[in-house]
Amino acid sequence: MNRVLFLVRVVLGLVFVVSGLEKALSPYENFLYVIQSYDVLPKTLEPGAAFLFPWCELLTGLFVLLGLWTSVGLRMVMLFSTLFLGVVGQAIVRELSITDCGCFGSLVQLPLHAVIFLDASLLIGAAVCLKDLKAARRWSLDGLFARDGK
Amino acid sequence: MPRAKILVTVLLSFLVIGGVSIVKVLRTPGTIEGPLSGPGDRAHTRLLGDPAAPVRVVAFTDFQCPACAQAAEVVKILFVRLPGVFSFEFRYYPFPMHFFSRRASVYAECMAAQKLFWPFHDVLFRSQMSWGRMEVVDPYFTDLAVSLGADGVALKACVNSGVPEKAIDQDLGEGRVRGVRATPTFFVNGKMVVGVHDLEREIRRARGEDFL
Repeated sequence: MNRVLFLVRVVLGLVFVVSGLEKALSPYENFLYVIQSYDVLPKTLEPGAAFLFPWCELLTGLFVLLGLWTSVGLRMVMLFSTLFLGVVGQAIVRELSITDCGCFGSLVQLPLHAVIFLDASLLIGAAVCLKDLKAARRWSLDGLFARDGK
Repeated sequence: MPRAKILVTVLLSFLVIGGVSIVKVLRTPGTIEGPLSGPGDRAHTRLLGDPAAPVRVVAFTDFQCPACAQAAEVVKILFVRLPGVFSFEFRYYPFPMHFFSRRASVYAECMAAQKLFWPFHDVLFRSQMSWGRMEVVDPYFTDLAVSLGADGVALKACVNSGVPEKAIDQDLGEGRVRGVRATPTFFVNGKMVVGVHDLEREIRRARGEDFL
């Protein structure tokens, strides 16, 4: 079980790192367009969100991947996944003409229904890891610091 | 809370943000700011408006993307609303996930050779939903082109010549270098604007209008 949860944590971290990295490396305007397409934020908040969000995603993924502040990182993953589910869900309900979710930039193009499945999986994965945090912290920096602290 | 852990967290965050920012700058060394190729660099012009207009809009577009069809309508409205303010240049940016977009671009380039690009462009966008669902598009594109006054023989020769492919690849290459990842992507006097939401504001801003 320890190894499985370790793997789940690594996969969660990698998904966020890849997604955040692609957005952070791309011109900012591309992600701004994605945010505008979902039509959920007030116009004044869209540029700030487009600028900050990729970095938050990247750092969250990195911390989860390395197991640094694992508990906080996993909670962030849950928060982001819930947020994505809500945003994508409203786009499906409102039948917005979005053909690609924009989650991974131009790296992978996913239709909205596939994103619901992906986000739900991320949410469940993070919840399972949080439930057995000790196992999820296997080979983590948190574990290393805890050992040194003793 | 161990001090070392906080130190590692801060260092790691700075390293990642700094490192990624440096890579981002190195990946696009001045390309976004540098001048885009002009209409004269293309075999056939796909230009609307006065080339001497103060604002130059270059659009990377995919014929099969619904947002591009909407954008084409918005651009028409902007030409009425802002007469003489901007010129508009079309660039092909067909995504592989849109099966017939590249083929549509090939026909469009051949129509440009016969100076019939814009009528073909308009009908392609208007009928996007129907040809996008066809199994074979060539007969439809040919009929459409001929109905708009194209020389069918010259069109067929052009489509099979491989020349339009070079024009499309030239546009695709330019778009990739400039970080185009979605369509439509506009460059308003060199400034990137993705999607049509902010296009009017950026054109007005490029003209020097204050915008609040």
